[in-house]
Amino acid sequence: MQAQYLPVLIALIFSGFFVFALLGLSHLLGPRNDYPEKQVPYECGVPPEGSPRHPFSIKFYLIALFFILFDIEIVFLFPWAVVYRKLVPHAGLVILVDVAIFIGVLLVGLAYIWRKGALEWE
Amino acid sequence: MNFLPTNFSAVVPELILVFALVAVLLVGLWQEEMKRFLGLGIALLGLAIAFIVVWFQPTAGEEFFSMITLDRFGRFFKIMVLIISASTAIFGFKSQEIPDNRSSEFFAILLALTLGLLLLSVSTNLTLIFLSIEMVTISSVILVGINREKREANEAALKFIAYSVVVSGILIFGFSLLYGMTHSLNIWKIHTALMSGASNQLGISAILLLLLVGFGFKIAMVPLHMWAPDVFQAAPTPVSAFLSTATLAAGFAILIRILFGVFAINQPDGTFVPLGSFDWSILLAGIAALTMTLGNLAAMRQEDAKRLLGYSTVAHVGFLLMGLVVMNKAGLAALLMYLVAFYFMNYGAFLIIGALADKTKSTQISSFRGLGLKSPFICCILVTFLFSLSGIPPFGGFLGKFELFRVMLHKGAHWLLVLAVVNCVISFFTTRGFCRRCF
Repeated sequence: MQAQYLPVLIALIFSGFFVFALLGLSHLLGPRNDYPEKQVPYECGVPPEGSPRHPFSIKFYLIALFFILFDIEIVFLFPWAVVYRKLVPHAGLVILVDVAIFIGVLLVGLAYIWRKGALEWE
Repeated sequence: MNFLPTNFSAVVPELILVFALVAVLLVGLWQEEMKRFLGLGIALLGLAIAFIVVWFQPTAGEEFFSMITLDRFGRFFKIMVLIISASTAIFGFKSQEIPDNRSSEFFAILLALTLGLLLLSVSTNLTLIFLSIEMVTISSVILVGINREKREANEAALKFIAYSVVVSGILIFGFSLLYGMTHSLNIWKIHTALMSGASNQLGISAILLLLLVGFGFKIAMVPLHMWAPDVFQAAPTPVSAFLSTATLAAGFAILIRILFGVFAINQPDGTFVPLGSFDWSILLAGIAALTMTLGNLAAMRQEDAKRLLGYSTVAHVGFLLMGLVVMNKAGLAALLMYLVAFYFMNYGAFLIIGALADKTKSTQISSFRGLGLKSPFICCILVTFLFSLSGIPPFGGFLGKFELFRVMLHKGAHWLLVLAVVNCVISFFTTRGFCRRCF
């Protein structure tokens, strides 16, 4: 089984070599002309002002958390959707009620965070 | 193909609690003023209906694709957890430590915690056991830190979850090794597979140690007891009371089920013999001795009432573990009886301290000074609970300890018995110091 992946290894080695060769050659062979004004971070041509660091808004953490929860809910719905069609003649109502309860529980969660104002941006 | 577990009536109490939980949450969203009162009402209603259903539920055996087993052992713990949960709901309603704006969350998470404990009492499938333990852990951490403004509560919740995560990892490692060894997730099938003899003895010992660590954390067994004093001190008093009684009880339930259902052979005369070449009753005896001694000695020097009760809970776990050491059904019966007595005395002590903490805004023992003069009735009740905790006749604590000592005497483990009596004396001195400072 390993022999099938030999071309992948060769491609990996070659691409790594290619990248290092290009960067290395341009670093070694190119001209070098350093003066202090070149090292300053770019800010549309004007001298930079203020600090690049500012307080990180906590709202991002909440949004990421909600995304994880509801994304996992969607992930669980995918296999259900795949097998639902096939199983409708056997036990269609049961499976539908099952997934309705699943979505219902998460709907309660959504109602909770909605009413508590966690979805307000500003 | 059957898509439905054949008997939904097996989990009706749990379903009732789910509905109560959702109802409390939704009511709390749309009803800001009456949140506390309505939350208490719905929670108590749900718990009462679940209690009635559990009381009259037939002990049918294995249900739900053999994931749970309805037997009288599980029913005992379910009833106990439901009663403790109802007491905590009332206690939390009255206590000032639960803030008003988060009261509906308190009741909802309390119901979720109860649900997890109910499932833990009856589950016999490794995945369901792990799921219940995680449900209990997460809900406990939220309840410990529900008073977000208090810095100590946040610190205790952080410590609690850090410990819990590591211990859950150890537990699931043990479960995965157990599954790999026996190719089954059902406890009874695992027992059959292990008894058939062709198993790796070192593997069984290693798995036993891992599971002991995993379950011992919940019951605050040495050397996994370190979370107990910090969490009990900083959590709101109703939450400490619940954690020290209900979670302890369900932790013992699952420990007994695993130890005596999987790792021991049931003899016809009511005794148990450890499975395999590793005699874990000796290990448990050593752990019981350590737990008792450490809990009682550390309790002697405490200045904070709730921290003292935390160490006293650890000491009582040592006494309770003695009931496991004797390896027969009489020992288990003594353990269960002491658990009930322990609920009454520990919960009572926490109730009084909670009421006093609300009045004096502090849980230091020095702030209880003069209690005998100001409100002698409350002081008498507190003294009653403390005497019961240290095992003075004729209170319930003495009866429970007497049962355990009698069982130990039968078995003949004299060194542990002597150590237990010494520990009783130490705890009596602690109680005497506490009471003296209250008067």
